[in-house]
Amino acid sequence: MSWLGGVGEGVWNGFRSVAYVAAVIAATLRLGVCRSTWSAPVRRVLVLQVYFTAVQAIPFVLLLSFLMGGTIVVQGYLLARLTGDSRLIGGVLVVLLMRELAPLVVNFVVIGRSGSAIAAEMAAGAVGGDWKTLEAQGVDPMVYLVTPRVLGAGVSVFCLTVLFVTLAFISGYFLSALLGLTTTPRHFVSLLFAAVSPADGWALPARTILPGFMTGAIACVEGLRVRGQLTEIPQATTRAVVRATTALVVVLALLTVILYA
Amino acid sequence: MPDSECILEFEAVDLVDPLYPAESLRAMSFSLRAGESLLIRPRLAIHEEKGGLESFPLADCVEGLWPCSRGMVRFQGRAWSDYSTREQWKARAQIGRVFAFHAWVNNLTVLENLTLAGCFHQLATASELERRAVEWARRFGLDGVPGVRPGFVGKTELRRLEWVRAFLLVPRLLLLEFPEMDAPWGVLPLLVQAVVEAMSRGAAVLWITDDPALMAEARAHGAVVMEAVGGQLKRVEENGK
Repeated sequence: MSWLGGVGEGVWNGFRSVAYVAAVIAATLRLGVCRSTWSAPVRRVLVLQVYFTAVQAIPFVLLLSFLMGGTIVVQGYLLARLTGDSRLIGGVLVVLLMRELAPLVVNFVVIGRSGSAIAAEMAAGAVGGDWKTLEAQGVDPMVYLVTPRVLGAGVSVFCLTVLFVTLAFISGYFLSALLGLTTTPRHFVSLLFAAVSPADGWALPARTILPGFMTGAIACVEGLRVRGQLTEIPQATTRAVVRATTALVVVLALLTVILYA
Repeated sequence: MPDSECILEFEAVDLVDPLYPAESLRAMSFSLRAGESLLIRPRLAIHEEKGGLESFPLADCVEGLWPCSRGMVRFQGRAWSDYSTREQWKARAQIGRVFAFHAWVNNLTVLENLTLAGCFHQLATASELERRAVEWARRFGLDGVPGVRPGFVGKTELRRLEWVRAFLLVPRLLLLEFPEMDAPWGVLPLLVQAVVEAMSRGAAVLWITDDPALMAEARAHGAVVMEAVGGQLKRVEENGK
């Protein structure tokens, strides 16, 4: 095959992968709105997924948000000192933290903790024949395995990001008060609100729920694709993490352009 | 007999396993009506493959999970391809299967494994299914249903718990792949008795086994015996011919 053919094949395969993951997410959403999908075992998987992805990640996310909120306020403080405009602190917090950093960091955390775990679990079940057993008993893997994991990942990323932003703002307020950039909580909140645009109302859900769905879907697809060999489990896990990270960066960049350009 | 509805029908089915093409079965035709029983004695049905064990995919083909290269498999009068996706999953829940090898979802407890299909299709509540499972377990000589994962339960108990699962949802078809494997001495008559009762309720039974004792028992209760010979299923008469 010529190099041009190789490039073409790579691009084509890339499009096919994107289309496949998009189809999985669409099917998941369709199943998610059907009442019959939510039998007790499926609800249980959803609850466990949210527990593992969101609840168990809270301490780590809180630590990150506290440190990052503080770091950004210090950077904002330096910027404000250069320009002589203390209102910049609100803009820096909203633009950098709420719009960009929080979704990125939380999605990274979820990909690293849960995306890899989902892919490994799916791959282990595929290698061990667990999912074949499910199918033979009439349990649809798309409903029982994929749907609650994809939806659970999306919901978890959104909730964790809200938590991340809230704590980062609180830590940012205390630090900015300490640095003398703001006086009262009301003043601090007014700085934040002055920097918020209408697009932010869409941006936060879009930049968290969609990448969360993608992480769940990519992890399931890569895990369930494994056939036969135990050695394929770590390979599938790595592939899932790399692809979910790539998809995350691309989608966040696209959303920034669409929502703010 | 409640009815004589055709439960399972193979119509000129070719079953080709790419891993073992020499063992392909061609032009399989048979039907199983409610209350009937058929025993298929496969030849070389069990393989050691990739460090694990695999079986020839006849049972998967019955369940519409393995594509037949030619012919048609009908369950309850309809070809698998005529069912919608949702209907296919529901139909499979009406098949009580004992698996040749891997039979458990390892990250669920045994009890969750037993009740999963019933709860998933909302055929009964979890507590009702648990009650039924304990009843069936006692019937097969077990103390109850373990609340631990399958990895912590012995092989002989697991095999009998598979029997429990096969009967739990009052199946229309019992698909019993080597059900005698790992079963302790003396409990097989309990299985046969349960199968006979299921047949009298209108279930069809497909045995896939080469165990002589089980074959004799099945034949004593009216099972037709077929054997894979030269790539074809041939009926075996009682004198072995």
